[in-house]
Amino acid sequence: MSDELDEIQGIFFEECAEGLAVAEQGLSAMAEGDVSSETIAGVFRAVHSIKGGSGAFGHAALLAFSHRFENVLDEVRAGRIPASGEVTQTMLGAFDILSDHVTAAQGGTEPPADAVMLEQLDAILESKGAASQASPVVAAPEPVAELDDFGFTPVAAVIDDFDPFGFEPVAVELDDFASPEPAEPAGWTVRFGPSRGALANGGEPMLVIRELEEMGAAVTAVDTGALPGLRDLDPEDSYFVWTLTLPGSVAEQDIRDCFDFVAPDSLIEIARAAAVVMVVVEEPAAEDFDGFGVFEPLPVSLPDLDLAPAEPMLTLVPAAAAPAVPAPVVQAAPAKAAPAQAEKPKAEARQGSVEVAQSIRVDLSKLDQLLNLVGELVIRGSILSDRLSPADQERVELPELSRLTRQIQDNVMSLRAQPIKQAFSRVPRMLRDLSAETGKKVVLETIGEMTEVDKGVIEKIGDPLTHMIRNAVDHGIESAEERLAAGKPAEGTIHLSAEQKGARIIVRVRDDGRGINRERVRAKAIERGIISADAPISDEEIDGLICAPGFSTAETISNISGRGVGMDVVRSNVEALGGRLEINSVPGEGTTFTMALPLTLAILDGMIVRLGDQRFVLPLANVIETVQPEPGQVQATSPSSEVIELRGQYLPVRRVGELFGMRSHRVPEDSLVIIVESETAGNVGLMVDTIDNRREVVIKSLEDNLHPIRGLGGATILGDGSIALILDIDALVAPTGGSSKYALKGMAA
Amino acid sequence: MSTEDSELDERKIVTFTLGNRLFGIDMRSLIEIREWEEPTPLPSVPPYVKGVTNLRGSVVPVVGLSERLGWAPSELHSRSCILVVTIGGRHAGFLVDEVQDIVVIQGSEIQPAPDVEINEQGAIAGLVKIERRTHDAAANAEAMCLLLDLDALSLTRQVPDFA
Repeated sequence: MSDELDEIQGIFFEECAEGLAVAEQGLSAMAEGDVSSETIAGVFRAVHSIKGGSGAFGHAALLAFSHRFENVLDEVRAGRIPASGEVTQTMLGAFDILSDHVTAAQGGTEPPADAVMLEQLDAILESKGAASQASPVVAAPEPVAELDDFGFTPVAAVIDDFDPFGFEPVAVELDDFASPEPAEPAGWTVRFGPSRGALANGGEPMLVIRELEEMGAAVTAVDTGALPGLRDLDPEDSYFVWTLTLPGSVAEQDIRDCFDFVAPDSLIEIARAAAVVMVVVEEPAAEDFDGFGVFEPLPVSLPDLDLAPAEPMLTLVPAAAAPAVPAPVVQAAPAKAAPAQAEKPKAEARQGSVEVAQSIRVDLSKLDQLLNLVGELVIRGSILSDRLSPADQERVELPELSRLTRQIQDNVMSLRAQPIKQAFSRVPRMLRDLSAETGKKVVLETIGEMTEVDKGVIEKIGDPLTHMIRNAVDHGIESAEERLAAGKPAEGTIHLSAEQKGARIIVRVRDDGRGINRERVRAKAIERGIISADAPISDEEIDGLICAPGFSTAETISNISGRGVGMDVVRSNVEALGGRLEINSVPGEGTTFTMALPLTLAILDGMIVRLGDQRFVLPLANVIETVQPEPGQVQATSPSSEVIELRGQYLPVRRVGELFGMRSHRVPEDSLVIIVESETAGNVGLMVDTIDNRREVVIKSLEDNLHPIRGLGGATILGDGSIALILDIDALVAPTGGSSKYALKGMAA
Repeated sequence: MSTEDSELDERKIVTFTLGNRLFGIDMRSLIEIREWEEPTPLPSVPPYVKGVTNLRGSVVPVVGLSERLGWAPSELHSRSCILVVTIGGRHAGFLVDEVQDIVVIQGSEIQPAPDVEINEQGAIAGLVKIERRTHDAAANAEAMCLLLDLDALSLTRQVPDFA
């Protein structure tokens, strides 16, 4: 039982995380001036669903805060509070607190201090609330629940509520109707009258109606007949009966589910509108807003209604024949609103004009399993191919099969690919916090956040990214005074970019701060015993020192960075991913951290080469060309180094056997030289015995059962079941001792 | 399960030889026993890591257990085999001279290991006396079996960072 609950709770927190991401994007968009109703509604919905779930799981603090936050959002959504910069900033702050609340609820820790933020939110509500007192309609977003907030709201307020319920798009719907829509079952009519005690029992009718609205429901009428005079009105009683219409595509069970937690003696009627003859025929929809007439209960009522959910659409023919009849409009609209879109604002769903990517939630481990299976399939495919006679290999079926297998593989890979935005999305919040803590103003610029990367990579770059940003703000960006004195704008800028380059993703964090203070870094490194005082060391090597374990130049250990773990973690995380970290710093102009990460952790396009009786895989992305050297084309420049002359240029040549210390390996006369491109040493020739073939290989990590080995990117299992090691060109050809990265390794060890 | 774990404090161990010494590992750590097959050698690893091999689609390191424990490398012969074990979720293959038996011992029979001639503390979890079966049942004799602590042999813990 409790396991099940934990699981559901887990889903809730997953949804919270998604909701927070949506809310943050929306709020950021608002901060940048996009105050369109969809954006605001998106934020509202996100916060609303967090609130809903938190109530269900008894996270009181989260519930209380999200409720107050939602109130403000609701007002903004309804246009009663302008989405000014100031309001948006407050909401961004509120968002931060909300995330903290979610974290606290998830970790079972103390909820954050939100009193100040709540005051600010209330201040927004009050100031606008006061303003709207003057206007004829008092805005009460949740007509019943909010009554006590606003005193005894005049009935007129209820009418105004039609606005948030989104009734305006009637005209649009008519247009929609005129265009031929695919057939769909008749719409639903739902009558809902909470029992008098519903509120006392915690049954909030607004939540039910919202839930219905999310499925595309619209309130067509409210029966206020039971509403007593002001004198007798009990604000904790429920007097209304709502009539809602829902699109026929919604399943009856889904509607019923909305009423699961409603007090049992409430009035609930769910029925399909059987015919075109609805009340709206007599009272055209546009008039609904005019007066109190609309509050009549729908005369359509029950005799005509058909409860069978599978009932085919009765109304389509007459409806199509009489396009002027407004009635079916309500039901005809969301033809495109498939269930997955149910959460979209109904205005969008009705118009069907907004293209929404449909998605389903899949456990990542299932994808991994699928990917593994496809990987095995590829291997089996090549085993099969190897075993067939050459004549059979030429048959059309085999290439077809391998093409299909490849396509499946590509597709499965793309399932795991996600925009890197997911990793970037937490940066704005972090910067706001950092700005608040340090008092430094920082502007963030992001480029290429839609670059797609394997999910596994995204998950793992979060921490390095966090440390790099912290580092940039804490150590890189100067204080406003310093910046002005140096002739820079007072606000610092951090550029965050992602781009795909071959089989790698390049993620850069660039700040325009003071750059690395090399004198200080060097002094510190000597003090910490990381390097010896007389060690000759290049600027690049000094920059690299900031990634040494236990290194920190911050004079005082600050909250933000300065514990001397940050950049060390960055480097090890990046390397564990098979990536590389580069640091470029120009004193006075800023520092750039570059992470070069593999695009995927699973499959590699490789060239199988042979050395003695062992086979290796060279990533094809690194290969430029293959040369069969003429006698004398490869010459020694020292006992341990050789160069190859290629079109007038001399490139260094490495013997792979020697790099790996394969003592027994005898280099054959007709060795091939493969020219590869590396980030660490430019173009380099690698000497191998022969080339077997080119093939896609499934990367099996060495770390799973062993540990990473320098120069190897992993291993793969070849068609015959044997293992070939995958070469990591960049690490392999890195000039020993010359590169700061490896010099550093030696020092740190 | 329950009888094995709680009731009698019984443990099943797999015994094998390295040279003339008898060793045991907990049966629950054993995944499979396979014939010796030359693994793919790896660069930049200590000599006792013989290489990697393909265990049903995953890449598993093969360790010369004798060298790992500080003795002379095992000589390969027809009964040489690889014990594939799981250590803390990772898999590893140990080259051993000969697999002997599966023996049930009582937890209470295990004696703590005194200083043994091993270059590393902790690899021997304890000593236990077992009956060693021979081809001639009458000649069965008691023998000392060294119980290995696999966690202490974890490759990732002992291998210096070559990455």
